[in-house]
Amino acid sequence: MSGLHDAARTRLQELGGLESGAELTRATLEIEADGRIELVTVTMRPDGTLLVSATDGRDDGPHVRAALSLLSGTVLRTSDRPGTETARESLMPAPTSPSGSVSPVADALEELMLATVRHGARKALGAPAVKLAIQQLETVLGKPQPRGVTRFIGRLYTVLAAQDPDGLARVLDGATRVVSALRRSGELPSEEKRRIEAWLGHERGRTTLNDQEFIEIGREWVAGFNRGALQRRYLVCLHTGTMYREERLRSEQGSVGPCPRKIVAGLAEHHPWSSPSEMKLLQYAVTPTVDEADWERLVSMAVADFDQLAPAYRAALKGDPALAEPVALVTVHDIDVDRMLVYDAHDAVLPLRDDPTRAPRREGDAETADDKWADHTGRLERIRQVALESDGVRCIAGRLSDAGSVLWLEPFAVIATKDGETRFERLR
Amino acid sequence: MSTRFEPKTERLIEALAIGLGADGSEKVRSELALGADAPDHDLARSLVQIVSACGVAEAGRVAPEVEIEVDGAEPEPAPADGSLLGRLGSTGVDGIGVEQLDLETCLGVMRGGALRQRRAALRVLVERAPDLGRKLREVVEVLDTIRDVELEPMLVQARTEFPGAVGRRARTTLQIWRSSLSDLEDHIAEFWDGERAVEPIMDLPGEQRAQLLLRTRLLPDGVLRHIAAVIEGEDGVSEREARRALVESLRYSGDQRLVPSLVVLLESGTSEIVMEAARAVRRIEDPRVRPALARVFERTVVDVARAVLAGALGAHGDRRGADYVRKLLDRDEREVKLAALEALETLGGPEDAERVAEFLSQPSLRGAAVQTLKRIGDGRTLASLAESASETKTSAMRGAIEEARESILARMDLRGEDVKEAREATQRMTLTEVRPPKTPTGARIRAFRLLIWGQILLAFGAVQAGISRLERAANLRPAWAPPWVAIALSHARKHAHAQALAAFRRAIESDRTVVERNPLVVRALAQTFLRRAEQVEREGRRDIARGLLGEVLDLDLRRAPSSVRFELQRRRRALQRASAERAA
Repeated sequence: MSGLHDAARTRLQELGGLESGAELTRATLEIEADGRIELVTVTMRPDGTLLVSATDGRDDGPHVRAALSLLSGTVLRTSDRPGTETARESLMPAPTSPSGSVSPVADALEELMLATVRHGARKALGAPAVKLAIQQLETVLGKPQPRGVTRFIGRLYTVLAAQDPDGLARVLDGATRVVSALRRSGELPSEEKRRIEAWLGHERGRTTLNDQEFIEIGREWVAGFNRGALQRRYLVCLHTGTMYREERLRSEQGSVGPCPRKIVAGLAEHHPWSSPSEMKLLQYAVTPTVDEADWERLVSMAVADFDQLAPAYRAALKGDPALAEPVALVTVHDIDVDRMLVYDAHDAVLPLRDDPTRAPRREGDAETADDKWADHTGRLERIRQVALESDGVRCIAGRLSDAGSVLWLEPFAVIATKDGETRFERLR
Repeated sequence: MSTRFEPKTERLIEALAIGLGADGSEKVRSELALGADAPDHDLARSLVQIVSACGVAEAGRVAPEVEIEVDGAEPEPAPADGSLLGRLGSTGVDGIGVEQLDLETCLGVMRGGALRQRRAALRVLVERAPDLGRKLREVVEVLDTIRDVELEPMLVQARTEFPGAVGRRARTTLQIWRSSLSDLEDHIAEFWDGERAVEPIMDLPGEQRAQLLLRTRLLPDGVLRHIAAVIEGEDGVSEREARRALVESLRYSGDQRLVPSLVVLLESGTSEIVMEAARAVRRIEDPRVRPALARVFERTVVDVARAVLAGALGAHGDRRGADYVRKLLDRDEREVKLAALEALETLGGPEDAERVAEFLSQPSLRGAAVQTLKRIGDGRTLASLAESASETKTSAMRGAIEEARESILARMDLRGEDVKEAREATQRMTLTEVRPPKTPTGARIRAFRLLIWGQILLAFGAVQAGISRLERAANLRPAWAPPWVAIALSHARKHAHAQALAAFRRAIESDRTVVERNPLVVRALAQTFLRRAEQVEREGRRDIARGLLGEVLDLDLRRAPSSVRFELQRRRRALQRASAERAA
């Protein structure tokens, strides 16, 4: 903590000191003590009394003491830092496998990878060896299943159903990376720690977000071990324009509220991995009605230059090709409703598609003639209707994907204007 | 990706597509420069890593071919029915637009067309209203008599556009509705602010909730989003049964804004919720509905749910479930037959009419069979319906049969068939009035005087004295309903539902037709029964509530407001379900 204190002091000096008029009325601090991380909120009431609360329910524990010490200017020495040894505990599970492996999860993932590659993308779906490997993975994971591995299985099912070898390679590549990280001995680099956290769902490695405003622009149920196992909500921060995903298993309770909604989050946790990165709302207020000013703020944060999309997409996939599912809110300068193409102000084009298992291939591919694309869910037709009924489509939100090296947008929401008012249309 | 490496990648992709076990792994090993003794794990890992890295490196680097043509929605199949009704509203070359029809035909479509056609006809009538001149009166009268709950959301709006008493009444009703909506919006805001623990829509009295949800299209986006959150279970408080009740109440809403939430329920709900969601989307014209229904239909195995889904698909022009549903009519289970009959409302054709008419002889299936025959609209079933009407003792059933007859005759007329002969041949199904016993003239005059006095006293607040005179009037002339009606209405105005209920029963015993044919009386009667049932249900006496609802639903409630009728039926179904679950 003294390190943080010193770093803060240095940064303040760099900024030229404190401006007059600022007053600290509330502080939320993430404190690690006794091997546990807790959030401590210290609030100054109007009557001058101090309200202190911690997420462990104690107001006199080591976390509260450490927070008060920091705020009161009493700097703790590094040697005072409690629980240093326990804080460094390994993220790797204890060896429980009969074979003596350090990670049964890694073994199960590797077996699944091998079984799938042996059968190939065209025949692996429903193959007994693959089914058995998935069952083995489920057994090793226990309940509740971690969301990262759950989504990996959902994506595996999707690419196998589509008989897509490119997609299969990415999903399994992600699995091999986490297997390597799980088997690595010694202190793990922070990136590998975050990878394991994202896959196996440890609550460590989260950072906090305070006093932020978000607008939820999409919501969907995605596959895991079962169909519709995970619910995702996509939230855009109105201060930074960052896209987050809030995620829950069917058995879990998420934050409440409709879609779209405005959320004022007093406290949220953020895990900076994958794309969009995951967020968990802890203290928040919900407004089901989003006013025009907020819509304007949201629209101003949409991606206006489509040339930015592909590099960001590739970067996300390089980080974790299995779990990255980038989402974008793009500004629509023009829309071709017959061919479902959207254009930015520089005439860069982004095609829309609906069914990720069906897409036109590149020119010269043998299957071009047979590969007809139909609107299998009616969502594109709905966009067409919205475009024709409204005064203009302003933004489209959707998941980015690629097929035949072409970048696509699979839309889940449209923002249009009609009679001078913003109209939000949820598509799924 | 370099050009030197590309051919190799293509071979690796192919190896990953067919699998390493299919063609031996030797070629892949040599491509990857791995020795023959390298473990399979290493081979598989190297393969996926290289293919993945190459794919990611190339992603988004190719510009889309803007010449790509996108198929739109699947083309609508050619209409099976070649008559005007079959071609009406279809998009093919033989299709006929409703806007091309003359006024008389439009009114005929309103009586006998399919839901989509009736909606289109109503839209056309409202558009033409300012130019109709003298004929507007006829249109207003026809629309005022339509009590189709499926058209209620549109009728509410349409009636406000009309001149005269009908328009005034509709505008007043809408104004009252809007003021109650304003309260509801406040309650919703309080709910999300955490100031209110109970979900505000399910907290409304049944009739008010039904009125609100039948007019969903008029609701602002904020209220709609709230409803969507509740039915998806995202409000954090509503139990499954409450969510199901809300979805059931949305059956006739027809609002496109609810499609995403209803599709979520279709794809992830229990089979009861799936059925209710299917019934709700059946009435929504939206391109996302048919694909969603088709996906769920293909993977559903429960016969009842599958039949309801097939019926919903039928409403969107997809007849894939027609043969399956016909086979279900031969099954023994009543629930399966009911679902099959419901599905045949949209999937059935003249070839099914006689088979469906056979169910008229089974009292537990008669109501569903009448509804299906009404939608099929085949003139050959008129005789069976007439026979069934003469057998039934329930006026609600006779009313339903009468409605079905009118609808079938309207369809026959639109098909160019001879309606006059059919109308005369089936005239006997209309309600026969039972002549009340004669009362001496002196007693009749005294009874009439007492009725007038009683009503005057009630108007001046002398309730006891007024009721006493009305009771004397009723005793003087036993088969005369007006005194009991006046007593019942007086109690109903004071929200004394139990007393009003007793008086309504006496009125029905005296002269059922007077009660059933007066819209004001039948409205008050239905509301009284509904409120009393809610009251006793809250007290935990569910079986009594179920009995009350059954009793009122046996009456001919065609002249009661759609919202009240709908809520009575919905509540009875809910109580029946609860009773069956308790028994199980």
